[in-house]
Amino acid sequence: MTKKLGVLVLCMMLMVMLAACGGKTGSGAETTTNTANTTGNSGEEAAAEGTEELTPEPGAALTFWTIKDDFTDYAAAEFEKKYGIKVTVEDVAYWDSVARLTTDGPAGTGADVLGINNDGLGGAVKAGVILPNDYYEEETRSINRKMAVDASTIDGILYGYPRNVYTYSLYVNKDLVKDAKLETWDDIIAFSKKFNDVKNNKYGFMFEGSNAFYDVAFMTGYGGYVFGSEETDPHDIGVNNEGSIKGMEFFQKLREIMPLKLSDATRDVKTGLWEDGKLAINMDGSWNIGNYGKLPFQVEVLPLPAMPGGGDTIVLAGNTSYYVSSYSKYPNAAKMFANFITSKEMQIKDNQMTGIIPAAEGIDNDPNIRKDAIMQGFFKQMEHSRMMSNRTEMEFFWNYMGPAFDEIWNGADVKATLDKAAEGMKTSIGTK
Amino acid sequence: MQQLAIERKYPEHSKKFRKKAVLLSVIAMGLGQIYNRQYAKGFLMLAFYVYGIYTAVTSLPHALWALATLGETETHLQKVGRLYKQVMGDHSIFLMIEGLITVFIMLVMVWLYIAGIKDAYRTGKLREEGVRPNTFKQTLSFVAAYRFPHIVLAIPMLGVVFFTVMPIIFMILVAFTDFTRDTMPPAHLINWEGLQAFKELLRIKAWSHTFYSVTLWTFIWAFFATITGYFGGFAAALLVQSKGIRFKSFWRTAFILPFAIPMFVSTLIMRNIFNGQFGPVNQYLGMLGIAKAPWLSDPLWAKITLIIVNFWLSFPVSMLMIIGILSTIPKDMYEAADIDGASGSQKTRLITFPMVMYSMAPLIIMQFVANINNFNIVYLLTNGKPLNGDFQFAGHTDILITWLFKLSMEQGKYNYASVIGIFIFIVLSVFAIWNVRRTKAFKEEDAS
Repeated sequence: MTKKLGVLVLCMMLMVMLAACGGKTGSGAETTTNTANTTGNSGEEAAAEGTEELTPEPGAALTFWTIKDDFTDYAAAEFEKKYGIKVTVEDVAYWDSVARLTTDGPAGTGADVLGINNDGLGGAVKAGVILPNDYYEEETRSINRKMAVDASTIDGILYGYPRNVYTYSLYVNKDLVKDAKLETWDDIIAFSKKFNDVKNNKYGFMFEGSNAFYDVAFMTGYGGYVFGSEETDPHDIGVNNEGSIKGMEFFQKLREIMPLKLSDATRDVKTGLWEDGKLAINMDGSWNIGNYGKLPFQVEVLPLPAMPGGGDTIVLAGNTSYYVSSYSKYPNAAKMFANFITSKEMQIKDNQMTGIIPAAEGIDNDPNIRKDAIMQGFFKQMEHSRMMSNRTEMEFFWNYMGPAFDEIWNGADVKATLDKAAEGMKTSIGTK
Repeated sequence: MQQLAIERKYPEHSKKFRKKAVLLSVIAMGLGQIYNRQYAKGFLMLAFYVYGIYTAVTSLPHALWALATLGETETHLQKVGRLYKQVMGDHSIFLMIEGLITVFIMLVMVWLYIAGIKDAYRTGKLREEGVRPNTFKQTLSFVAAYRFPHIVLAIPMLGVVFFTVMPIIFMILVAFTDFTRDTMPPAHLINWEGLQAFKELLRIKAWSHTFYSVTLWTFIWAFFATITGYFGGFAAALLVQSKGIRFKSFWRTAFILPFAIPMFVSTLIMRNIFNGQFGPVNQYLGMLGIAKAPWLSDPLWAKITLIIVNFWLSFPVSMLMIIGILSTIPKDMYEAADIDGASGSQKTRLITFPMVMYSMAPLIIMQFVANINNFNIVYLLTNGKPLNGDFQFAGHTDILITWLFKLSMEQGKYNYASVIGIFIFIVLSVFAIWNVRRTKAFKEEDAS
């Protein structure tokens, strides 16, 4: 009999604990509505105060997600010096930040300002986790390249504060190439045929073909593209048009000089060969400018040559911008910081410290910009580049074209493979 | 006899206390106890009852509304002057979680309420029998003396409910919604969609093809991964422990080395070792004049490579465990076998193998289950590659768990991922339950 009484007391103890839990959830809900109200008020106040000056909220302190480097620490320190607002820099990769903000933001531990690559922007806007760039819109538009501004814009609303643009090009090891002519693809093929020594793992030309980002370069010279209207119209798919097919036939020809499976030409392997001086021409991204500028041999960057008998090769480019979280408790301060770290002077400083390609326009000839052969080569390549789409439909490109490029490289029929992949993309986009 | 006498002694009271106590407890928890003259306990329970009713009235309607609708107002941007303002609406996922918690708490309270009625009934019955109900002091000392383990167990139980059961129910619920990257909160509201995700996954050909193929490969993979690891370990253990082997501890240490390196590191190294062009394995094969094998770039080879690498990483554990079991087999069994003139293979087959299997069977099944979910090795070694154009967001070597990861983390198809999660959950629970109930090792323990 007393046994049961004991169980009952036990139940009551359980209830005390549960009641404590229940109380917490209730109060949690209340506080969220409160903060929603207060932020609402402050926003209205800011608007009522007039649009002349954006004033930081009193007691503001910012959390900043970016890939941490010397420049980000420097900029955070400068901002604190100038406005007295503390900025905590946390190392969160541009491609992870959106996913983290969707969980950390509502919990109150997310960033106020975060970096996102343009292919992640569509998802961020759809999820509603970032605020538009409203106050500094004109300034941002006026100082930056149009392609960087467009890449930070969705449906006509500008969200981002562009930091840099990136693309890929040909890094050339001058010590190996010496004065061989590398003006056309035929030159590169001829050089590589002479240079290749597969047994000893020496290669003339290599690229990371398992990443579809690079493979697009071989489509564009003959008129291929991913999405129409400069990669903005996902209802116009160009991966299987005549130009793309012709381009992919050329792509198959490259096996002559790169006798590998695409999946074996991984980034680690290629970078290893390149840094050991066993790879003469390395098609790689501008994010390596900093690293490859310090190698013990002379490095130059050449833009991708035109396709044989075709037009200029247009490579895909990307953009990294900073964005203000819509969960930020200090949106004004966050906007000020995002604008501060992406100002023209800061972009130049960034270029000097880390070797990024600035998003700002018309500074390629600025005396403070790095003048080395790598940087200048990339400035030239930027002129022949096109921003990859920042729309969420881009995921279907990666999904269907990755395997297609692999199959084509292994000798599959070009037209049939591309048609199948394009069909897959169309169904996925159409059924949405 | 004594009891009968008591019942006869108070016939007119029969059922009176019981009925009243139950009736009062039904009206309000604790009233029955107060009626039974357990005042302290009764008032305490009454206080909880009031609190429970209060919570139910204040938060239950909201929780039910939240669970039923998953939110009604959308978050949207509003332009105030020059500045955009995010007007926060309902966040479907949080509504779902909060609703679940509230409903859970309410269920616990209902259970307590019923327990309270039962207690009132029982105490009432005791009073009819002429027994004095326990005082509060007596109850407390009884609890401290005899119910202590239950109180301590209650804490992990709470953990299990809120950190294991709740998330599983949450995952199951997500499978019935349209939660994808396109309806990501807070900008969008999530809707209940019933069996839509199940239908799409199993009926649309592209998806069902991927699902069945990946499931098939998952089981094939788990089977071979377990068998190779186990028998590899068995063989190594027999060799190391067999008579006449010197430096036994040296061999044991050498064989355990692959396991001593963090799996994360060794898998990433293996990935480079098996590179088709630059990996040392193929380089050596080339030197011997053997054609290079497409270890990771051909679908079939990639699968074989996975199993080989898993074998290399997992046999040391089996080996260690089996060595442990071998030392428990009584020596006289072998001596008796020797006298009977049994050969080495007969001794292994008829003595060693059954003895080891007896202890190892549950562990093998658990290893099989673990291999079904062996995310690390697949994700780090092949990452599902080589790519397969016929699959939806999966490669040739993807198993269910890596496909689930890709669907949710990379593609944002949370509802599909949940459907797969439910499937894995069912498969694993079937194995786990079967393991506990069927294998001999557990049966033996139950009997004792």
